[in-house]
Amino acid sequence: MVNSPTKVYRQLISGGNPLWFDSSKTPPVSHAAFLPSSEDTDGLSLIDMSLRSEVWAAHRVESPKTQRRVAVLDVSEIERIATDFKLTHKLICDRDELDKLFGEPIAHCLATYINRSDYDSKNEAKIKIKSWARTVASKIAKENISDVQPLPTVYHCYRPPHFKFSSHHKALMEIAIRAIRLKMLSFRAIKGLSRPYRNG
Amino acid sequence: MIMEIARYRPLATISSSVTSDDGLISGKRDRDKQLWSDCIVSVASVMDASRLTGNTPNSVATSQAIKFLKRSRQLGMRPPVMIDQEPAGGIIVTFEEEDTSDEWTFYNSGEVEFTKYIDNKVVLLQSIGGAKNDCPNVSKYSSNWIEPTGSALFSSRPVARRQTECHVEPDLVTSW
Repeated sequence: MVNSPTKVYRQLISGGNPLWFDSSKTPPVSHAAFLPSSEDTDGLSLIDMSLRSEVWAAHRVESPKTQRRVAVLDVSEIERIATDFKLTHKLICDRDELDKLFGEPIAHCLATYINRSDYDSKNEAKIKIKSWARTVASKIAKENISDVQPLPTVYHCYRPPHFKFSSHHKALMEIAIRAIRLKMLSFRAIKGLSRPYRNG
Repeated sequence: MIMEIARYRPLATISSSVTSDDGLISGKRDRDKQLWSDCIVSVASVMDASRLTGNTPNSVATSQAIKFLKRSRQLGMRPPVMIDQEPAGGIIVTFEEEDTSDEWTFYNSGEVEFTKYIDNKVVLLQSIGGAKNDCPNVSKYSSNWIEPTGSALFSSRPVARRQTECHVEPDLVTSW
């Protein structure tokens, strides 16, 4: 399933990012937040804003106790910057642990052009990625950076409030519900539970 | 080499000499002193910072960054504007002028990298040795320094010193 997000979240670690900064700078977001980490070998992780709520977008199954902020990025803007620096931009859907839990539509995507493999092996790629990260960081308005998000609980909706399933996903869900119902009916029939009340 | 570096006059000294207000100079000096001390403390605190997650800077990167900051301070350089952790492990120290900025990355591997930006675009990227106990030659790369002839090594020009306030946020973990 291919989504084409218009706005994406990027996770920012709440503590230690940056460690120390000039308070006259607005906002205090370092470009290091947009550099690929050693885990980002195949691309920079971004989350489709239309498919995952802010609280869940700041969460990672791999480090469930870490609280983070998220920055909102405009996809057209980051792709334009990528083009400016001659990076071949491509945003692909890539299932993360939360997508595996909550199913389709997939919210996690990868900006494949910002990857650690190229960053570490090719000087030219490193120059482009560094320039991209700094430009992206410099364009983020303060209001596009969230507060430190709480750890999600059952009371936090996974999908954003304005989220509506597409007809494709509605159809898929309908099939899934029917399958579940059928399975329950057959289970009851096997166990002789098809008649919940005995005749007097 | 250090003697050679010491002969270079920092830009701050020149701009100070043309300022008539002695009080202002001493005020700036005091503030810079405080900034230097704060940023060195912030890097030192990383060594035992359990709050950092993921690719935490190790003792190699932090000790190199501290050495570098101390030497830069001794040489009369301006304090950095930002210190951050490198996403794959290390410390990034950023100095800024008006539209240029110098960035020093101290990787956990011991490698040191210098990057110069103009308008957010990388104009120079250079790996500077990898010996764990080496402190990079600050004056060779930084635009904070000018040669005795007066010409900058890179694209820097004598710009007025920016009035910036740097400080360590006491509750960085909870409130940024």
